[in-house]
Amino acid sequence: MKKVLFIIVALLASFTSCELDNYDAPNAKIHGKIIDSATGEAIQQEILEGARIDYIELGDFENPPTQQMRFKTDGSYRNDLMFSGRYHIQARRGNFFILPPDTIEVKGETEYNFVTEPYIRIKNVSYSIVGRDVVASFQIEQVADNPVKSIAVFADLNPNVSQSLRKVANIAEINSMVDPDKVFNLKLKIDPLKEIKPEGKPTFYFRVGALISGIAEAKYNYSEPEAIEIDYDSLPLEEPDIVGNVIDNCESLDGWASGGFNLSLDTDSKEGNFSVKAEGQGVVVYQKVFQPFNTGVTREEGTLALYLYVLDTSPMKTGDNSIEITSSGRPDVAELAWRIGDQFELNNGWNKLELKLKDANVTGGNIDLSAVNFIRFYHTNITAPMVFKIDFIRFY
Amino acid sequence: MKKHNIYTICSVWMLILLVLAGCNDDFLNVKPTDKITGDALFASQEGIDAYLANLYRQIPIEDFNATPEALNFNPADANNAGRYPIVMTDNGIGSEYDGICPTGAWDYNYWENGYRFNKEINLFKDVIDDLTSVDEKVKRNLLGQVYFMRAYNYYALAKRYGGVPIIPQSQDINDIEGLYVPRSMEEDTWDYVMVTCDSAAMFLDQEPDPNRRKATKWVALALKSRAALHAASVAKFWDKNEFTGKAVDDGLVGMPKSAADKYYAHCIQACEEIIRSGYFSLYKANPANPDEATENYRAMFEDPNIALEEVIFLKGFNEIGVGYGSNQDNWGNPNQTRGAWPHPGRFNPTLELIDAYERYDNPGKSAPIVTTKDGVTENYSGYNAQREYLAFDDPRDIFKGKDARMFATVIVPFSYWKDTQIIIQGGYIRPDGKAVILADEKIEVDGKTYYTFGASDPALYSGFSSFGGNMTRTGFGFKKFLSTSYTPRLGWNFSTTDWIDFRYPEVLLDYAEAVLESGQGDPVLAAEGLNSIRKRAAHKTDIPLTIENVLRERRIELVYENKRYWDLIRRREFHELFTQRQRKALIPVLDLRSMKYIFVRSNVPRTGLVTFVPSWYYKPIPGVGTSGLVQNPHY
Repeated sequence: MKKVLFIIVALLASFTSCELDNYDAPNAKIHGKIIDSATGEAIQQEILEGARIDYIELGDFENPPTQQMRFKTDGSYRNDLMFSGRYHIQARRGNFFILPPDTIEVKGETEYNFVTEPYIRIKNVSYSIVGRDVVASFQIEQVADNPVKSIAVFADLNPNVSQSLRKVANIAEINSMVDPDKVFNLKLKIDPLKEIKPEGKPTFYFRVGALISGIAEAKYNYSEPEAIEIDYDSLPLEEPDIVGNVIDNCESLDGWASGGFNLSLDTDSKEGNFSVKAEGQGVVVYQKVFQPFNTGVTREEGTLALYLYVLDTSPMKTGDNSIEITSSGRPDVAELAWRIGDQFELNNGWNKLELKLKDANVTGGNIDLSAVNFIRFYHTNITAPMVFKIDFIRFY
Repeated sequence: MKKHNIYTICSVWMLILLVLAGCNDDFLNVKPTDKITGDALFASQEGIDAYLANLYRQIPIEDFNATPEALNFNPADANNAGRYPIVMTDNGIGSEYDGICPTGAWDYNYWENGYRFNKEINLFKDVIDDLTSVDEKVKRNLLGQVYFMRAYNYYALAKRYGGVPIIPQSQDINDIEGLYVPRSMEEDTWDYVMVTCDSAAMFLDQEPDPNRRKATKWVALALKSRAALHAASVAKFWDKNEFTGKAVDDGLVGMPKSAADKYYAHCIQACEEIIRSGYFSLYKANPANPDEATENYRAMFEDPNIALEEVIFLKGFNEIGVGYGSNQDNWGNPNQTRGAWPHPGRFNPTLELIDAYERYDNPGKSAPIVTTKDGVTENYSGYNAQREYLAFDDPRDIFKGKDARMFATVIVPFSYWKDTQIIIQGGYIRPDGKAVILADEKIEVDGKTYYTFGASDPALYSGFSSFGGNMTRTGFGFKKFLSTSYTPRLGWNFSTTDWIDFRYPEVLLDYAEAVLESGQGDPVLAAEGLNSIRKRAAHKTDIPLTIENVLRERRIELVYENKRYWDLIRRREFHELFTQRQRKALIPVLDLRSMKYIFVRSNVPRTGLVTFVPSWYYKPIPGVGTSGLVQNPHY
């Protein structure tokens, strides 16, 4: 008992001489935003593993550690537990041009803004529900000189939706310089959202993103999150397209060539993210050479199906034309061809063409349907500036 | 009174110290009688083996006991909830744990243990230098062991941290400044690993160890191949996720692209020496049929000692108990064969892995499991009555024609393991057409009772119920390495399966990858190697040497051998594969209308989305505030 008492007294005695510790509590606060110098607005940020604010307390420290703060989605930050003093501060690893480290004095409630420019500005964002898709329309202004690597639309139940916090995303790799006037239309299918929240009229948050290429640790630039209520019951029923054997889903320009017209990828598409667009006037020759492709269909029963967009059919009244497939790698040998007016009609806008193989004109011998390797659309007399788009070419 | 006693004791001690301070220190030079000198210890082979065994245990081999938190994790309480590398990639998932990073950036942290081991290696080197009692041949071999362990250790450090301080000799603690060794550049660190492997290969025994348990020239070369491939890949793919910051500016992380060819050349050289030596070959290289191939492949991992022609380096697990055994069988066995162990079934192979296995009728292509007549495999939204499902009388038939190794690696639903049919069922379709999936229910049909999970009691099935975390939630059980004779007991560290650290197929696949990525080496030899591994798995058709083929083969052949994590790291594929990713399952469902089984491709039940944070490509260095070392990016 005596021993126990002795230990207790000894412990009490030793603790009375203790203090909590010999440091003062944090006595200052800092807050601010990252601001686009051109627009004056905060630059939208990534919520997880996004841009980072590094700060180093200056003073009599050996190896002072680099401390970190993060931005909120809206581009603001706040730290209410700072020590008064001088700091080096720098925002980096983000979606903006990095400024050199600044030396600041933090005292009381300090406001400090980073004023710089984003790599990319995303403008004129609007969302609409088309069919069973949410379609985001937007324009992109490149500030950095590098090509835009990808454009994307992200969705989540969380309003901080971004690349790293999203349930669903459609990311389209474009790897190109972007014309600021160009309007992108990027779709996000609603059905996967239904898997996440199957009942009722849930609200999902959407954000458009664009990622610059060629800059280490660059993050997506974003539009502001937008809440969209989705009423599953009001959606049209799914009208499944017959897929068949797809020879080209027109998601890249690989293999495509054109005489006279400019080719590019367009986000106005009937399948996937892109269609192949041709713009010009005069003679259009729009073709692609493939690896030999087994169509899996017969002359008697097969169909060539594709989507063809025509801006305006009126300047196409005269002139030779046809849609052709061959197994010779070039036109006019082992060819099947269909002519406007003879086998099919075109209207303004998107046309869904289903061309029966048995109706086609045969030129230069029989086609080998197990090794189709060439497709072409041409028209010799287009009398006004014209836009064509082609998408989702397949056989069934 | 007590106080008085303490004063007395203190005073006595101070007196003693005072007396000693005045002493002549000759008596300190008396040889202690309870310690043994280096010369005496190393005079016998037993002494050498004893000392080496202690060092070998510290080699950072990623064996059964390698967890993201610690290597050699077999303490008295080895409970880490089954969070092993097996469940941390796209090849597997835990039955309760669905992440890939139990400690985030600190996973696979090896800094302190690495430098502790480095110090021990240096002490060993000091002893060897002073040895007079052993002949030159033994001394050369011991020196080779030093180089081998050092190379292994710096390889383990470099793959985690990039450039690290290189400390190849014991440090003088009186030279305070000299203790602060700065980080070397990443390229210099890998160069050092290469050179050290070469030194090891030169000094170690030139013949393979008959038991494969000691390092020889061939183990050093295999290590060199593995390390060189890692270094080359980092150099080549580093810019898929570039970093910024001081560590990058100083070259402490990252390498110029031009360095890739140098390391691929090192890899090729090491592999060619091993391949052309003729010392190693595949175990049972020409099976008569897939069933035989399955059994050969399975048996080799249960007891690698039957397949020593294939084994280059083996870590033995001869004894059970703390610090000796492993827990693979306890965590891995399906619920029905759990024995006395309460927490089985933790390792769940994913549907992604199953899909990756080829079918014999379509060589060279992954063969996703087709469950519906429309053939669509990219739909994980669960059962949909509108879709037409393929129906099977015997649920095992859906896997017919898949690669033999699959059946040695995983337990497919309703197959037999240790003479028990492993019931893995996720639900049923009632006679009225209503689907009941992942819910615990029973129903009577024609006088017979049917259960959603396939049996009346959790003890009698192994899938999909959340009971105890014991049931697979991917539809597949774990099999590779498991013992057919050991029945799990209550307690830790009872498994004694030996671990193959280097296996000949890894060398063949390293070689094929290096040849393809660099355009150096012999493509014919590389293609032969690739196809020999496939032939051993009962494939009849050679496939061309392409990077897709090599990477798929590597994933399949070496699955669960703790390679996948580092393959995804070195090729910088982790963040591409794991951004908000949910792993996949295959749910067998009994259709009570037809009494046939259908299968539903699904997200793994009760899991969320998982992301690999790109900063984890390099791990944080602990204690930089004290050491003054440049920290890795993002930390």
